[in-house]
Amino acid sequence: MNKVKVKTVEYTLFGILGIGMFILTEVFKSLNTFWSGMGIGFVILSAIRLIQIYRYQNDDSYAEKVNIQNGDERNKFIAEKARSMTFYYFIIIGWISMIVLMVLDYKQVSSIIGYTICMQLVIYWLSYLWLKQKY
Amino acid sequence: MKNRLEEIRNERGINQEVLAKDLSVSRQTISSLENGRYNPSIILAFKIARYFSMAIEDIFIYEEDLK
Repeated sequence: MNKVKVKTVEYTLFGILGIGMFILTEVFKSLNTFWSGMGIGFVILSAIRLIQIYRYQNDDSYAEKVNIQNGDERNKFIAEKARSMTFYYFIIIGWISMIVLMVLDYKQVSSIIGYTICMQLVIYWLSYLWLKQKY
Repeated sequence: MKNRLEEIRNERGINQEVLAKDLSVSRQTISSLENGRYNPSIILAFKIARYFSMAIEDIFIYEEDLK
């Protein structure tokens, strides 16, 4: 099955999941309202994506524009650099938050942030070692 | 890295839009290359050189060579 068809199926299922969550919350009252909001979000996201997929399949100039944007090396470079900066600033902000929360006696929240930072650093170092072997 | 991309493109009467389409990159990439804000990958550099039927060194100038 080609990539576009796979994406169509995925987003359709996503939309159905969203509708299901909304119905379970609003009609059957089985879930709390948080899930109804999430369900609406899923439906909107899947609708947008399905419209984009429809345009991609039926509008050659739109398809060309999307292919160029997705394949453009400068866009990929910018996305990777943005991800790298996000990771870097997330660690710094997390570390500062952890200290501030510990001082303010929010020990549990501080610990959770600490574990998240540690896990990210472990994943980073494992990825680095693996990529070093690969390349 | 400095380059003569804009100069060569103008000599051939090709606009950024056409060049971008022919190389399957965005027009912003061509603009960034010409302004020196972005350096191409070796593959893109080869594609550009092949497009203009020139050697890479005739388009892209490695700054150590200028010293």
